[in-house]
Amino acid sequence: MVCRVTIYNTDRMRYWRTIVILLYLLVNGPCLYQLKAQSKTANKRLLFYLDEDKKQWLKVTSYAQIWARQSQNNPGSTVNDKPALNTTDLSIRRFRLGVSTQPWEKTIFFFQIGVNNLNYLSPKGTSVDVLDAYVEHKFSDYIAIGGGKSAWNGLSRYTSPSSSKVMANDINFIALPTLNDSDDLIRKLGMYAKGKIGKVDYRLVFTKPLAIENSKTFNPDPTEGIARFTNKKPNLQYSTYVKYEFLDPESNATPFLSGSYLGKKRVFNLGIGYTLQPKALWSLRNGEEQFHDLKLFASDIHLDLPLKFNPDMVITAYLGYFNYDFGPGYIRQIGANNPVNGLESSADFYSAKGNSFPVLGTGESLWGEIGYLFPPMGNQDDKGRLQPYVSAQYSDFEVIPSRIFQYDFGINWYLNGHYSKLTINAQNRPIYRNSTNVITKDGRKWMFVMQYQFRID
Amino acid sequence: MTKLFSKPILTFICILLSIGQGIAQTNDTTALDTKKLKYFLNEEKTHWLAVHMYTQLWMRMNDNNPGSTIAEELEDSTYDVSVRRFRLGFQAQISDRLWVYSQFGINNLNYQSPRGTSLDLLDAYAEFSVSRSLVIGAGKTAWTGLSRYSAPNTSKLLTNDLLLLALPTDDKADDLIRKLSVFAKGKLGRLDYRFVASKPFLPSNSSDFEEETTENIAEFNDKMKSGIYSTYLKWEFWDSESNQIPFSNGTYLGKKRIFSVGVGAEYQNDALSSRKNSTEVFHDMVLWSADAFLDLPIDTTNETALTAYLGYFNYDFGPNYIRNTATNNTTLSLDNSLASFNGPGNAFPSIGTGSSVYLQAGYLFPKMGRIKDYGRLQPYAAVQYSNFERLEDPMIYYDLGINWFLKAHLSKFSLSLQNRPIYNATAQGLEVDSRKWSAVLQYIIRIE
Repeated sequence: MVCRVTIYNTDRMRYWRTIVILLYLLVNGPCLYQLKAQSKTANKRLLFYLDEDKKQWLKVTSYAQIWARQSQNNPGSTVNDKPALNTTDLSIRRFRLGVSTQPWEKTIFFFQIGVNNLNYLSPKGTSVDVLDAYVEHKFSDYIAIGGGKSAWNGLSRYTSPSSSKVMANDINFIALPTLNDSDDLIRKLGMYAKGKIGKVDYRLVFTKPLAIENSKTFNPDPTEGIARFTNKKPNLQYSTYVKYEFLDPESNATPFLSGSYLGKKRVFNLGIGYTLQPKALWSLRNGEEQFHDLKLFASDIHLDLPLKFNPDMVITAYLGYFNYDFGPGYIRQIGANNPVNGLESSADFYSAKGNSFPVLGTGESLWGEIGYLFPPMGNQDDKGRLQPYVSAQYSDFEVIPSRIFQYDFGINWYLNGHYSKLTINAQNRPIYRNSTNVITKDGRKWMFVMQYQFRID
Repeated sequence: MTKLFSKPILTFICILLSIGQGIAQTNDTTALDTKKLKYFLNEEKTHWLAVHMYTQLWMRMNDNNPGSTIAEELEDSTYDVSVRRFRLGFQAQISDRLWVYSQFGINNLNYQSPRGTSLDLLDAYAEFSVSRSLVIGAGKTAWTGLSRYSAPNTSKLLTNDLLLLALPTDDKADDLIRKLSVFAKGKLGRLDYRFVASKPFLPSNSSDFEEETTENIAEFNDKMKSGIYSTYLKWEFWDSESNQIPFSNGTYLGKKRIFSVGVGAEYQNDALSSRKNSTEVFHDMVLWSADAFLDLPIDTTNETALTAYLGYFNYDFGPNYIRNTATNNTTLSLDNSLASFNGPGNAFPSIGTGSSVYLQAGYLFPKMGRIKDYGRLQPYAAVQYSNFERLEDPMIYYDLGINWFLKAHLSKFSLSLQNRPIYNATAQGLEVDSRKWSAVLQYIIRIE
């Protein structure tokens, strides 16, 4: 008996010691140190001053993401009606060219053209689209008001992700609940107010959702017990995200939030947000039309900290909780940059074509990521920096009885920060099938992506 | 031919030439060698960003193929003005080893184009330089093998327009020559090489795609999944050419002394299919070529030069493959009762299973004008002779023209007379029935 107590105490001491060390590292340890002077002079930014006071300026940005991919496709996937179990391809995930300018004091104009998912299935002559065109007037630090076609969104941190500065390989779709349904690559037509009041950073957005009938997934008829976006009641959409910045403030010059500052900032935020749209969806109940409000809530925590004992080491972590109510039984499958263009018609297949999986739906979800940035490699030559990461989504959707678990892991190799980086990512997703009125799991599939990204600004 | 020089075209030629003279006289102070739109990113001037843009305007009188119609009315000849090409691009050396290239553009903006013509993303790729002898890159790019003019520098050609024969998969597996590719290129001494592996665009997204296979006539199919592999190797006997961008110049206007000999090949497994006794059979695309290019300055003080290119192309697309290609087509519809084998407008069989020889030659005269610079003239001639399996008669196409360089390739006129054969089905097979002319006056303006 005595002996057992002793062991128990030793165990407990070890346990407490670990906790104390971890707490020390987390609370006291992280600290911003002055960055080492870089050996090579950095390139000039593409920032042109239009006057001598430097109050009028023009900035140019451009980036491209090139994907080489091996995808295990969902059961029944086809390319031009021919079965496609696997696809190897090369594609341009994103291309952007943007201009932002402050033509006179306090007013900013932002314009961006771009294209997504230029792959072998794309039509010849892929046109570039006007993604953003908006203007913003700054009254003070507390408030700026803008309007136009923009990616200013509320709800959560990564509802407006800086897609060229994410840590995991790609954006997380759980944070983009109306993607390409009522928005155009995250962008909507709307107005917004944003600002910083002390450590509180807020954004309030109201938008006129783009007409649902122009979306690829649009189905004009309501279904019994399954909610769908409808074009019958085109109401405004309201969205807000408020975050409290415990350490360094982040820029709110553009809507996009970075996945990692690579040690240049010390960030710890807590945020909450919502999106509401009255009567955005509809379904049938006993043959009668029912309209459902879109009610989405999220809260999240973001940490991006250089360690105290070596500021060249950076821990980046994010965790978001998403509580979505789209109406009964709503579910949506998304396949990013889908490698196939068809699915055999069979009642057995529940998973959609290619690399799709159920990402969004009525229910609760968690999405998180964690990564660790190593110090620069190479003694004389700068050989870049490595950052392994993992990210995962865990969802409990109303319509799928089992929980959805999808994960990514990979490594970023920053040759020059986010300006030139190579990422290798492995993604594992669940496959579902229909079996006698219930959706059941049917194994898992992988997708491997090597991404190279360059960015000029 | 008399129709070609009818009143409207003469008037327009006069107007354009007088504009040209104006440009020639006023822009004398512009130095040609400096790239004005180059912006240095660091103090050492090793990192930079450069912008380029060019436009090619066409005025044309075309004798249309038999049976060509516009709005169901027969149209014997078409007179039109069009934008053959517009490009806006930038390239940047963003670190010591990294180079990126992006380009927007549009081709064939003519009177039949839809309103609200969108600008397309033609190129977006990045290159990493391991050493001078090895550079690797990936993205949407015109890097391709096979022959010198399979990646032509369309604003710096000798002839009025590019050589369709050298673009065997244009708009089938490519998007205006571009594919989604990875490539390796470099120079090993005098050897200039490129290797390209591409994921082809789906042929089913082509405008002229046919899903049904034909008995004993190969066509591109949409069931293949394999990549396209191509290479081009060139031995540079004299001056070395730049391999920074994929595009090869048609002439250096006496600034370089070039003699190069090259060989190239392109391969795709099961790219085409045909029907044989009502079962579908697949054919590999196996193409190879050999070519020689000469750009020889004759008189160094006057900078006169002789430019010549000779290429041999041996194409195997499968049985009887033939393709009628129309450049910036003047009409798109056809009255089938009067139609020839060529199809509508200015189409002619330019690519097919069989072998071809292509030759072009030009001579650059000295500067004109004693006090003022009136530019330089360069007459040229080009001819394609093809023995295609499908056609009974050999296909002969020729192009006679003259370039007037006001500011080298940055501002130039070219007038071109093109003659193409019209094929008709007879008891013996497809035979030449008649020949048609097309006259194109082009003005190119390029800023960089």
